[in-house]
Amino acid sequence: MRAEARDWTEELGSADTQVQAAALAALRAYLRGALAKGFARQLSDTDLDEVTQEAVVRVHNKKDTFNGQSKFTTWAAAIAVNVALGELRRRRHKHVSLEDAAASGRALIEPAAAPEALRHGELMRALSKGIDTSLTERQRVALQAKLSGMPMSEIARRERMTPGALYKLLYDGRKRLLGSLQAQGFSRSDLAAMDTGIEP
Amino acid sequence: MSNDAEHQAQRALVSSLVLTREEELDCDAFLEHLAELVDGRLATPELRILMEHHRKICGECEEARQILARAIADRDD
Repeated sequence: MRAEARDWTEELGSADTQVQAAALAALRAYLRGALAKGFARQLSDTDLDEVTQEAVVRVHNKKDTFNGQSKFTTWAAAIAVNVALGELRRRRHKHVSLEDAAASGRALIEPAAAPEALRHGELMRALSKGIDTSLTERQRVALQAKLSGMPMSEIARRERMTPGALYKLLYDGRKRLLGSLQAQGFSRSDLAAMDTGIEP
Repeated sequence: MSNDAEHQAQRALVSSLVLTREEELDCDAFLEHLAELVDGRLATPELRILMEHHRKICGECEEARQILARAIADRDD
């Protein structure tokens, strides 16, 4: 563990209420400034106040899990950024249902939507078939909603999963899709060749 | 729906398949180590490789990294 100018975890957990209040005030000021800088104009003053307050509570509740590998302020700012991103993403998609997002995502990879090259069209048809036949219903909906632009955090929230569990669901889905594509005659090299700029 | 949106979705799907590995970090694990990544204090080279891979495959976690890097830039603690 590397030393920082102040011992945040000790001060935030202090039995001396004045020490703790001062640490909380300093943390609040730091996180508000960090969020304002990180998000530029995406957050109003009211948003900043609300998100900062939520972040301070979360940091305080999780302070005993801080392992000292990073600076405390970076660790706390990471929690605050995650709180703010979750709120922004929730707002942007609050009027879109998971089912509608999945339907939009499905339309985006319809074979008819990929007419520019024959092999590309074949791949899209194979992908559509793989999605329909090799994925579970939950994997299919999550993947298509993600393709429509719905954030992972939003899909996870609606599916009552952690983002990590959703990632695992989609990871298993990707492996199933790769197997389906392979069975339909598409290798990883074929995929990489159609996705210039990505190393196979 | 625009061709751009279609192209972007198709590209994202194909890229995610091309980038699929046997061992990957999920978003929870990435976020757990995000502060260490931004501070340049990841514990092992293996973890760095996994974190860099996750950055490529998960646009949302990469967005969080970029915002965090901006948020703590030029601090004096």
